[in-house]
Amino acid sequence: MKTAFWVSAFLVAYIYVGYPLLLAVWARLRPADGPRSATVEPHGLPYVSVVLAARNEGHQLRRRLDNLLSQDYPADRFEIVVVSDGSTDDTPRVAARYAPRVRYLPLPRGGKALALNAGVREARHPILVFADARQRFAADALRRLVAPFADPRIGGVSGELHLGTEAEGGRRGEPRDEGVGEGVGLYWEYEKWIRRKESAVASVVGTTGAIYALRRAAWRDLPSNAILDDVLTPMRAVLMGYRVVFEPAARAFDMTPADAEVERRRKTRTLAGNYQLLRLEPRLFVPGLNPVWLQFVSHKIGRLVVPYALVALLVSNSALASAGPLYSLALILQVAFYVLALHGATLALAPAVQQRPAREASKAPATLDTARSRVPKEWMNASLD
Amino acid sequence: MRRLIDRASRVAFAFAMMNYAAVAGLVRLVSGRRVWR
Repeated sequence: MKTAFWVSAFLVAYIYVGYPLLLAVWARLRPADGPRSATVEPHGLPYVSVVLAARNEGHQLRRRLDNLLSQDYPADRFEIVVVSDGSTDDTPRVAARYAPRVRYLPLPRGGKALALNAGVREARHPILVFADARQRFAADALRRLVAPFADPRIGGVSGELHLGTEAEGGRRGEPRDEGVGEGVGLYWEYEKWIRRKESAVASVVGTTGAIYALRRAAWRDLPSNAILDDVLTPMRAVLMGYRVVFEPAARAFDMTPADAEVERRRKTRTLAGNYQLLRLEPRLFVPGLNPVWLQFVSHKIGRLVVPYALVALLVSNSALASAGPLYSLALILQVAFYVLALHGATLALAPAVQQRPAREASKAPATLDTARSRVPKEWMNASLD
Repeated sequence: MRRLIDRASRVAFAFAMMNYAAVAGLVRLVSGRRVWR
């Protein structure tokens, strides 16, 4: 029992505390070179294809395309390809209004991965930028995102997604109610800190689905069932020998859901995607083949192991409660944590229950939750992994 | 103090939910339920 306790305690502590500390020390002592040129003059900006896969996004596509077209980037150096995955709403009509600046590619329903594959085939330029319909880019996002590609060693770049709470952005004038948003927001800050450090020492082990770019030479078609294009794609670039870096100056904006159920579905999908990587890209698990094996195992696989370690920790600690004051204290802390989590559940679930009828009645402009209700859950963005 | 407890509770819940999702994600994949398309 003591072995089970200490092994599981070590695992949990390493994944969430030890690994970030290791990265912090690593980044300080042995940082990788920065991209060779971080600033690119206008005449040297690369040609870019923005690929936007959409399914029934008509309600927010106009705003999104306006946002992309207002980028501080020479118009003759970037194109936008909208791929519709069997949309049945007014997505085609909205996209058609923007021709010829926006090229529209309608497909029968086949899933996001196939839509991205088709979008990349349609794209003409050497730098591919992937985006979703829901988020917004800062005016200089494209310019910042592609700047690191001036260094030929860089195969992919992840931008930074900034999250506000749905309560802030969706219902102005009403009392702020955090729901699950605050917890998710804090977690996301922690996640981004880890990505910054991973980028500083070598490569990130996943990008932000809402804003990432890839050198076309590093692109390989996705399997039709791929869940996490924003992890599989950059990791394949890393396996090819490229670096994939995090560029926090390239900013996109989104809202965290107030509804815990929305967040739970998104998390489930994201973590299912991590398991799927085991099958889709087994080379990632081989130390000699994956240049960022330690980071990948610590960051991605560790998160999959922790739930079982937590159960083992609780069970072993319960059996050892009378074995000494250390074990008693550990058990008290664990119980306190779960009591807090239960309290957090009541806080997170309460606003969602209270707000749903009001939203449905008001027919207010689409907030994240209402927008999602029109989009199949399989299409939910899995950025926050 | 109440605010601090609420904040810690939300973080604890987000952490617990993530771990629950890791198990649920595996169950969905193993059971063949669709999580993509």
